[in-house]
Amino acid sequence: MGLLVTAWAALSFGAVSVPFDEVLGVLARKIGLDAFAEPSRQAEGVVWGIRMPRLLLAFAVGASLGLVGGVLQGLLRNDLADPHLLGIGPGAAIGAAIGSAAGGIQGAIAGGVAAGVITAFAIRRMSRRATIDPTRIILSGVALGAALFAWVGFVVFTADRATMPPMEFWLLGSLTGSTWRALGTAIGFLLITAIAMVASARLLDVIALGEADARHLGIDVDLVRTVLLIAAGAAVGATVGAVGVIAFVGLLVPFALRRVTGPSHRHLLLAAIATGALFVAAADLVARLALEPVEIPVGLVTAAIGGPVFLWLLTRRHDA
Amino acid sequence: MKPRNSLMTLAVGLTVVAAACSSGTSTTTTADQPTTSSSTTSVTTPQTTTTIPSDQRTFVGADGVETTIGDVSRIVSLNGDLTEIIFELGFGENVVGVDVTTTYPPEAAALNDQGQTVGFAQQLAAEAVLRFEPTLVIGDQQVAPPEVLEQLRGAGTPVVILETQTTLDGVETKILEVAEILGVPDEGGELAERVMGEIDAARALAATDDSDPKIAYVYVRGPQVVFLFGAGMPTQGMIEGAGAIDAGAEAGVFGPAPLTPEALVAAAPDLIVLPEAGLAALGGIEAFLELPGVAETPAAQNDAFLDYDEAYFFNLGPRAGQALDEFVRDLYPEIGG
Repeated sequence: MGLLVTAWAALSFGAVSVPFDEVLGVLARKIGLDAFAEPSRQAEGVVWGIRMPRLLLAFAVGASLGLVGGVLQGLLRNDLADPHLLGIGPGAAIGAAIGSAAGGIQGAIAGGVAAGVITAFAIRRMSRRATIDPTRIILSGVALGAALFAWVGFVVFTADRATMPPMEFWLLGSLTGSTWRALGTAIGFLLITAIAMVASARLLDVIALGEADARHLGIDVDLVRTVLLIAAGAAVGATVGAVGVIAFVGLLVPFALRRVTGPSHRHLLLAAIATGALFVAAADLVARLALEPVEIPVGLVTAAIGGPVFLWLLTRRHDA
Repeated sequence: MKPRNSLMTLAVGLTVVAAACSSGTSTTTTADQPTTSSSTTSVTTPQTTTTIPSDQRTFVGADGVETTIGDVSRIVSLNGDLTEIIFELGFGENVVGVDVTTTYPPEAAALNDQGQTVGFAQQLAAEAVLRFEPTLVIGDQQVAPPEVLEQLRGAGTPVVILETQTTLDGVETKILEVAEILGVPDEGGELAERVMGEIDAARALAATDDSDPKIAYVYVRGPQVVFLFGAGMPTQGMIEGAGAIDAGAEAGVFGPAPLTPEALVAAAPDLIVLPEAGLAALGGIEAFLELPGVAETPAAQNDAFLDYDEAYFFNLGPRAGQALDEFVRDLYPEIGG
């Protein structure tokens, strides 16, 4: 429902005003129906060429970040686990920036995926040494993230500024450059990793009981970890390559949903997909319209909303 | 790396403010814009203002994209220097949207104030351009992100990207290219000839003075935004065109570098050139002299400072010759004549 309303708003509103019956006209013609108003060429270019890939990319990125957050929180048994807080996002951004210099948006996504996976494994090594103390894992991730962002900065400042997205893009994210090509490149990674992650929901339930129990039940915990970290790293890397680092989605969405969905990871992950998609698409709508026609980085919106909500949830948890 | 791009990046801070202001006005003025049509009429017919050369042309831009250009009745200009050339060639009436670096001529600057703005061309959004229903979008290689150009072209809008020129000699190329795109090569040839004539005259005038002072261009916007411009910046062309040595470039600075007190003292400029508006925002020469390092320069000891409108001084557009002439005369008062 929320997704439909967001989709309607995202396709209908923008700096170019397109009457709603023309928006419907564009969509109808795409599925071969000659219904609603005949859209002008510009209306078609705006609705189908600009707003639609952007909306779908926002959905895909949000869904993926929400899902990855849920998986990492279960896997590390740490409610504060978040792909960007752990440093996967910043690590992926290094690869994405290098890839971007080499091959535009497609290079950025490929580089992001590779670097995301590598960083995820670095985190795993760290988390092995500090399994007992969840706070320590997060602190290590924050330190790692800060260092990795510095390297993103080095890449950005040494590259040709005409083609390299600015530091702001990597730190705060933006969906301004969403094209069908960007969506097409990212979506494969996002879909495959999503299937892998959702399929392991049951295994996460068992791991949540404790690793020893999981081993007794015949689960190869290390293999599950490895597969999920590859999936999480690749998914985060693809989102970072396409739209930069968008904060708070992976942290907040599963954190908030866990209270509602209970301990079942299957419910949690599916809810995180829908809520993450809604969160990012709605935030992007605000980013597009708040200072129209100028756009603000979408990460400013997710942080401005996500920060206070997260704090509120944290304090409520203490009261309970 | 194109240092000029970095220069544009510097304007971001101001741009955000400018964009915020202009977006405030845009909400009130959108009703006057042809894009806002009632929901029953789907297409608004653009108003043709001046004669349109009817023949179609193709132009291969600096990004390698070949664009077919026909109708130039609704132009969006993404760079201030290109806006100046478009206006100078007599197509000002056709300009429906500009970016925030457009500050001249006043009619063009007024577009920004009226909300006819696309914001900052280095952080462009496709719809900010498309809302003007342009028949031609023209910008240089500083325009970003590249995906937005793809989106604009996908919506059927001709987008031409010119090479970013950073030298005085590049002014000719720039003018001729814009004229070719607009379908008025003869007028472009005349304008280029006139401007290059002015530039050469100013250079010749400068050559009559045999001193070669060391000059630094320091770009200020406020106490925390101070840059020393070096090699590859348009200011280097202006300083060297005036027969002087660019202190920043000589000190090994490439592009704009955040000014450090020691770098300025080491560069030891005999004279410092500043942007007028930025200097005023800082609080004038007195405030500038209080910045660390400035007082230690020969320029401060000789009280040798000049300030010009920044677009006038380094846009490298139709006013480049005029600006160079004024700069040369300010620099060597004894040859003023």
